[in-house]
Amino acid sequence: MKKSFFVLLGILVTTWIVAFSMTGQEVINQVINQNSDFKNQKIEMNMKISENGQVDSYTLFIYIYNKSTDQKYALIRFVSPESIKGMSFLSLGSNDEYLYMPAYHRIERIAGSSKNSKFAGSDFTFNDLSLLYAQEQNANYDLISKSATCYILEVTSKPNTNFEYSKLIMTIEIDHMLPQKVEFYKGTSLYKTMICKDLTNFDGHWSYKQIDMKMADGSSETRLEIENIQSNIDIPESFFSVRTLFEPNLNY
Amino acid sequence: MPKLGTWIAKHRILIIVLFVGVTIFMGYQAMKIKIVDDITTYVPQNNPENLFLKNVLDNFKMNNLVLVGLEYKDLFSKSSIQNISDLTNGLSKMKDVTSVMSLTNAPWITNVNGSMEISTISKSIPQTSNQSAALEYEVTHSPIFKGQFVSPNGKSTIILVGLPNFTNPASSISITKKIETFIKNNSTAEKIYFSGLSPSDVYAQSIAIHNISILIPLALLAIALVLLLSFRNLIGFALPLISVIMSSIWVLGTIHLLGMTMTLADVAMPIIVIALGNAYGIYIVNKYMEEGDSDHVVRTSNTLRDIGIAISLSAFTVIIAFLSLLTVGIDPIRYFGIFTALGIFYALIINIIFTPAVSSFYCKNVSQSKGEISFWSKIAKNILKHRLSSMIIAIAIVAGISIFIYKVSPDMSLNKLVGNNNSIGHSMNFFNDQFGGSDFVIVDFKGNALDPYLLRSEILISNYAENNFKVVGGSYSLARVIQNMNDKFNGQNYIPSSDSKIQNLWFLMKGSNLSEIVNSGATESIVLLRVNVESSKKIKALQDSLTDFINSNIYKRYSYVNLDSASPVEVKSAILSMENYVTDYMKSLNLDYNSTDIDSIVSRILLSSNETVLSKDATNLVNYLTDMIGSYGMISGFSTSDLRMALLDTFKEGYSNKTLEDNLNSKIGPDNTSMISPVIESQDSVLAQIARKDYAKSLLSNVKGLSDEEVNNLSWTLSSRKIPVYDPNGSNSFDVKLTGVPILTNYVSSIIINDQCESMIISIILVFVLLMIQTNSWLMGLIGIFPVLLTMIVNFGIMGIFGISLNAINITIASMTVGVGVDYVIQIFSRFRIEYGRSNGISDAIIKTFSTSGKGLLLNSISSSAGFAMFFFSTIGGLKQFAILTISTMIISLVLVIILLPSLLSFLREDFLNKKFKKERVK
Repeated sequence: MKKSFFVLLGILVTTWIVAFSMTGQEVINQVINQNSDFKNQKIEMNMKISENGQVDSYTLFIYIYNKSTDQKYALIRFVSPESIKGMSFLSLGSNDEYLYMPAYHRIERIAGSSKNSKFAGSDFTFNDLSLLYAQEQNANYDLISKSATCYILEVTSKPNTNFEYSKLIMTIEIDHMLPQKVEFYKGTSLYKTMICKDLTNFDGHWSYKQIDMKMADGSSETRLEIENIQSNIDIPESFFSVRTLFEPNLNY
Repeated sequence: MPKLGTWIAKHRILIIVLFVGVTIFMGYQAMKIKIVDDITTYVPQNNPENLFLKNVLDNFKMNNLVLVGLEYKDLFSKSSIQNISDLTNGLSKMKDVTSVMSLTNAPWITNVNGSMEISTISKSIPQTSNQSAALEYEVTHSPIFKGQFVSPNGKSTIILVGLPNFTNPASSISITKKIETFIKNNSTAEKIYFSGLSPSDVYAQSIAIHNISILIPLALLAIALVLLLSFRNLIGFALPLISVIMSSIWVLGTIHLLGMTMTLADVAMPIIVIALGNAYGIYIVNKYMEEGDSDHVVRTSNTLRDIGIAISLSAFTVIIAFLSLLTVGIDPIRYFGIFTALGIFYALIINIIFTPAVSSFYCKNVSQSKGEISFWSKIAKNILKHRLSSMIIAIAIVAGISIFIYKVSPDMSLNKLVGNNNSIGHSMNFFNDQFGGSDFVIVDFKGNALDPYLLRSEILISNYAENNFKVVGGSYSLARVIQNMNDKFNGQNYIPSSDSKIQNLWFLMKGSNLSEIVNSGATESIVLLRVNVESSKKIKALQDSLTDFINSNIYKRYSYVNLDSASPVEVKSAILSMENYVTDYMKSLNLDYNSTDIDSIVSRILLSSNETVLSKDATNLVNYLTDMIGSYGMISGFSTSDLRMALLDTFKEGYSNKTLEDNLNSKIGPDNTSMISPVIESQDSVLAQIARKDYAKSLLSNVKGLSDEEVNNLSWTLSSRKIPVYDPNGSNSFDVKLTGVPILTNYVSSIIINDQCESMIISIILVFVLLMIQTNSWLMGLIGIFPVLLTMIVNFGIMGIFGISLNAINITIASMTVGVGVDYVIQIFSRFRIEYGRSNGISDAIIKTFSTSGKGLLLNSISSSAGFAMFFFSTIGGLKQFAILTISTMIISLVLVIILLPSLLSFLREDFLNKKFKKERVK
């Protein structure tokens, strides 16, 4: 069954959850159950970063492999622009991550603590992206309101966890159980907001096509445009290895 | 004038009320005056140098950069790093702060348990003492952080805070004060220092207010004492004082009413008005008290009749002298000239109208002391007796002192102006001692900031500046960051010549805080050279040498040659280009080199084929490949030794993909071969470069003076096959230009000399014309201007002797000299005119002139000198120097006038004087 990219955004929120309030847990469980039953997935997307009037555009493929409930593999490869074509990130777990630099034909292991840094200069952090395919359990989750069309959830970090936001306020659309809007807070101030638009059916699976992350101070904005999502396309586990990173063209 | 005197005496109460009222109003305005000292305001806003600097500062959010220096007990402890991080975050959130760059938010590339991390120190704050020690070691050994964010001794750190380019200086001062308050309230540092334009403005304001509030009362007190001792009556000492206090208040009030601000140099202005303006009051009161008539209307009328014109002429010459500063191309100095002239004008108006009005209430008559007349008669007689020798001695002394004029140089730097004994000086000392500088010279590159040759040029220029000039404390640039990144990630401490490699590194830095060194489109970048601005001469030397180095050694237009596919002509130009690069690199490190040896090494490295270098370096390459495969966890199902054997055999047989796969198949089997061969085959170009680098290293290690790190850098550079070559028709180009506040300060200094000469010539010509009109004779005009000219020469000689530079304050000394000197001349000519009419000859007239005017001139000189002497109590170093110059002007000017005028006048023929002063003789 083909699943949307938004499944992963749902998982994003759940990753910080350790002890759900009952209502919150039910909601997030439903988000996960309804959208994450795939073995492997390929997402093709464009990423546009706007800052100081300058727009940088990238095309990238994200490959995900559900090794087990607790362990997911992911490989991100940039395919354009030409200057960084082949640049890749491989995650085989939270402390087993690699970076491939095609111009050097080298792989460097990268540290987990850098995951709070910006991903490719975007307004998403490595953590935001890595949480798409790997669950962590270091946050509290509460349902703070409910309407006919959506749930509003509050996600707060547990003490002494490596989570850079003080809380997330997440709006989940009830019909498809997909996150529609996420507000990221630092301290008491809104830090950035993610808004999803254009609900689309990708081969029987619902997902938003456009995800905008806007910094609250207006300094920058990142837009993810989902071009295609393919699930369960028989990507083998061995694909998620350092050897694959050296391949100039991927088989999937 | 007599009619004016009569009118004043009749309306004296109305005049007093009116003047007091205006003074109260102006005093209220003067209290609101603001003081701002920004070097960028010293040149016209449309000046190209100024516009360029502002443009660069705008592009890199460095307008109004505030440097916060923090000295911690233990900088790398958990609490200190946390504190710096909190301060950085807090400052970033402050309204109007455009950028914050610090130890904790700058891109930090480190190796965490074998894994590379691009992050910031704020995200990996040390938790234990061991982690603190490790962080200290890494930071103090980082070419990016050492000297830039952390002092080399590891005790202090800097936070750079960018502010917008406020049109209203008050806004800049306001936010700077908020920043200072925030830091002082939240920092746990033991010592806190602030530097930069805005903090300087804040300090300048407080220093100026402090100095004005101390110096004005002191100057008034000093003058009051002199006047009290001389006149020994209330009116004689109080009125000249009141008149100059009113003049100062009026001029300060006018500045505020016009919506203008003062600079630090303007602190001298009210004191100058007080010191020079009090003379008019002295002359008026002195003359009024000499009048014998008991009727106050007659006394007032006679006073203005006898000296009103002379005082007006005297004031106008001073006004002209200060207005000559309008020729200086520096706005604050022009305004200084205008407002000082206005202050003198106010002093004239007040003394011509208000002082006689008040004096008219005083009825006593005070006649001259016979003893004093006798003293001045003796002086005049003696000078006349030895007139030739007196003149020769005076001129010889002037000539002797003038020898030192060559040592005078301009220096508009703020630290020279304010000296060390104040907050600005203390801050500058901290940044100079701890970080090797408190300001930045900026090398601006307009062109593709990610172009390999441009980046290498940034490194060359930074190296040249750092290794050849002690005033340069360190540098920060995109090139340094990329080189450091390449070193950390790939172990290659150099700027690669491949665009794609730089793009890969650049991509990893996306999102890092680099806005202070590269713009968002990467079309412009800057090198920040931290400089000690204590000596503008040294900054000028740096500027000139860097400009020469850039013009001689950096290609502005070029193309790239790929040595693996180049024609013989292209190969030749590539070799020449790299020979030049290596020699420039040696120059930049201030190392001696042998060109022939360098040329030979470069040729051998570049002309060797891939096969040759690969075969020479087989063992190293095998180690490289086995280590790499091992680090990826791919040695599984076969042994390392089998892999090594297969690789060694491959290199022995001649490296190719076929021999590699054959040897791997035979040693580790087909399955393992298919697993690792794509990885090894991807290393083709890498192996050739490593082999060439190793070859280059073996040759360069024999070059004297190069450190291991430098050998490594050059070896990697020479291992590249893509070579930048000079090409006037090439498609690659960039522009390089130096800028920065120290450069602008030097520019301002450079225009001072010409402007000073121009202003002096104009003031002398105008004053000569005034004297000519007064005396109706060009010869008398020349005689009058002669001692003034000599005083100016002596003054510049004194500047040379005491090592006093021309700055925003003492550039006005020439105008002062003209004003003061001509004042004496006019008083003497005016009196001589009268005395010649009453006397029986020139000598008699001269003696009587000095008998009657000598005391007034001396009193004027002493009281003004007493006022200027109070500058010695200033905390502004420039004012102390100004005190030396003003006092010497007052004294030397008087001495030269007393010696030279009687002598020169005595040479004139009687028929000439009869013709010129006919009316006076008839009278």
